[in-house]
Amino acid sequence: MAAEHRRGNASWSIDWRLVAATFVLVAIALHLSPPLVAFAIIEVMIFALYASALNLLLSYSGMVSFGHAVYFGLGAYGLAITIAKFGWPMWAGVVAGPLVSAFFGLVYGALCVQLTAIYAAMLTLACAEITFAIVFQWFDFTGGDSGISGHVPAMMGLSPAWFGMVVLVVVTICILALWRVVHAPLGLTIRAVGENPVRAAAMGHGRKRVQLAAFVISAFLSGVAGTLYGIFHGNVFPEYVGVLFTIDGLVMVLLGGLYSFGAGIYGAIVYKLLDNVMAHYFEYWQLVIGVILVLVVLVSPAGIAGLVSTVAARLRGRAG
Amino acid sequence: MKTSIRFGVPLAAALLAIGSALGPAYAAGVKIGYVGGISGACGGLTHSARKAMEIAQDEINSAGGVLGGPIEIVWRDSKTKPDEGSKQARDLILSEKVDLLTGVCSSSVFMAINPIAKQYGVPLFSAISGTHKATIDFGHPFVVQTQPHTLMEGKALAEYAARKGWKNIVTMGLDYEWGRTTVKVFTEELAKLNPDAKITRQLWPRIGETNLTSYITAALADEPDLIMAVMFGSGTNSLIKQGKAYGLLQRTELLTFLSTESYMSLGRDIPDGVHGWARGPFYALTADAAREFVAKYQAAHDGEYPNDWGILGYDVMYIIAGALEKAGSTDPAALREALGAMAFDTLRGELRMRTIDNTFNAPSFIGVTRMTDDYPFPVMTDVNVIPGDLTLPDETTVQALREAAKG
Repeated sequence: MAAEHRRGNASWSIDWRLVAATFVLVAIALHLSPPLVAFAIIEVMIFALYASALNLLLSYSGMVSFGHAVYFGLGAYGLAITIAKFGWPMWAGVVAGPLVSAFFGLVYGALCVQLTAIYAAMLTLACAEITFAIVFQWFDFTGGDSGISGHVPAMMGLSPAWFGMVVLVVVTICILALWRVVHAPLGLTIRAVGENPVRAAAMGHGRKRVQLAAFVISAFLSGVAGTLYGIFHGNVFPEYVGVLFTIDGLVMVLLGGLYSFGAGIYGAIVYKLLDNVMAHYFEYWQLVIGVILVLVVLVSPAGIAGLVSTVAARLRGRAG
Repeated sequence: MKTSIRFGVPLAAALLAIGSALGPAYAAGVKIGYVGGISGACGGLTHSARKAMEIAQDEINSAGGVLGGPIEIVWRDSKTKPDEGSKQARDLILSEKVDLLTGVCSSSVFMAINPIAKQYGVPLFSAISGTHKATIDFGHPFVVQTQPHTLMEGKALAEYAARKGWKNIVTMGLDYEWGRTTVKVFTEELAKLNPDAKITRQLWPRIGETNLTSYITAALADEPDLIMAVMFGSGTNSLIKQGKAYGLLQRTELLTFLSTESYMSLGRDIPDGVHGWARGPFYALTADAAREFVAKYQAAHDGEYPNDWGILGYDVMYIIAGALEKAGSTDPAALREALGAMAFDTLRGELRMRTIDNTFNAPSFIGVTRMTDDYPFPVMTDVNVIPGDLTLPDETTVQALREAAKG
């Protein structure tokens, strides 16, 4: 898929049969699973969206974000503050969450695109630190380190299976929309800027404007994921905008396979499942996950997507 | 590229495959769900709580259990993360069908689990976390606090400072809710108890900040009688070690949070003469039951001493068992009524719960560090036990905080 992307394949058709089959399978899994497994599925879906949104920057626009949890967390804070502080209804909070993220994506993105490469990446980190400090210390507005909780019933009061269905619908729509964006003229322009900004500029596509568009789209979709996460748990804490959530997203994309559309999805599946399963069996689960990550990166530098492509090619070769 | 979205099939298959691995195993009897930071930031604190709770569980079950059956504890690791804690609490309720929840270490995990307990009507007993917000600001009938919370500790510290007669005081609070609230309550209460006392400076180091020299020099510049440091763990460690170069303990008194695991890990790095406060120091407990528990704990764990969280964990098990017996069922309303109507013999003495905020009148322990011949680490001597009845906020304060929390 990396090669496919590099070649600039403009195919943007969607295999609806595959989407439908996937949807049905996940729906069945949600309804047949005990709550803890349903929670894991919900987490995977939410983080698949978050990591895919981050992947838009990493794999396509030529930008690195060291503070992307800001847009994830601000989605959850947008929801919580709208309801708990302003007393607005839940639907308003659901709308506000992603919009707050997109707004901050616009403001921070406008700053970050002024620079390139590692300098831009460091600026994303600086913006994230500023946001975290405000969220952590503005006790009266954000609840400080105690966060905000109880503003919505966890999972909207639904069962894990039915809340999972809500998440499944929203995440499917968002990932399909992202697919369209990546393969539409805007997406091709983002790719062009990401691969060769000088040549793209010669064709009339200014780097800053295009990268800013990608940044805002990515922030908005991260905000959707964060809003869903806020509803899932019925709370929000500074951790959601913190560096560990950013690292989670980066690891998922790298694990999934950079320069692949499915990077965020593959990465989220493997990373969150390891995260959920390992803690049940090992007290030092972080160590185990770390070793597994190192092995995956060493065995398949192109990530899981690369591994899948290689295995599929070999199988096709044998079949041929 | 069509194949790139073929993620659903492996996703569904993988998730179904792990279903059995994560699936619950249900057993009859009173079932307690423990959610605590077994790993993560609280990992170093909670191991003793778990060991102590297991001892209590064995004792209670050996004596016939409660409500005619044994107590079972289902252990879950919150990883000291609020989202994980929230998820595990919900699974304990939905899958394991626990009758009640306990544990919680950090304030954020407590605040994350609190609305879950309210939503599902499952009693939640805090054994370790000390935030007052869960039982006061966002209190509900099903949440119970069994240890002194932030407001109580701030008041106890003011009581101690007033007794000592310190007049010029510099506060140094970690810049988050625990630090800010404790300093605020300390300042307000001290003004009532000793109007001559003056807070000359307030300093707010950030969590994780290891170089405290600028704060130390700033504090000493005021030539205070006392530096009241609302810090713990590595923060306290840094303050004491770096303060030596400036003669901190020769130039002023220091009052800071020193629970038992700090003494055990820092050992002789803690000099004599530091004023420390704690929530359940085993060496300061005088009840026979406490001595028996410590002996049993040591025998079971290679001579290791329980830390404060072990004492609190052991106590919460007997509080739960006692209330269940009196209530005659696991019904949350009956349990609350029983909790409010009885006295509990705990390792920290006789304790009662009041129903306006489901908080126990748990004492605070404040003393002066000294290396003795009794233990391989320093402990507090001349321990002042500040009773909870003296430090519990009055009903007006509770109602005002609840109104403010409504926004």
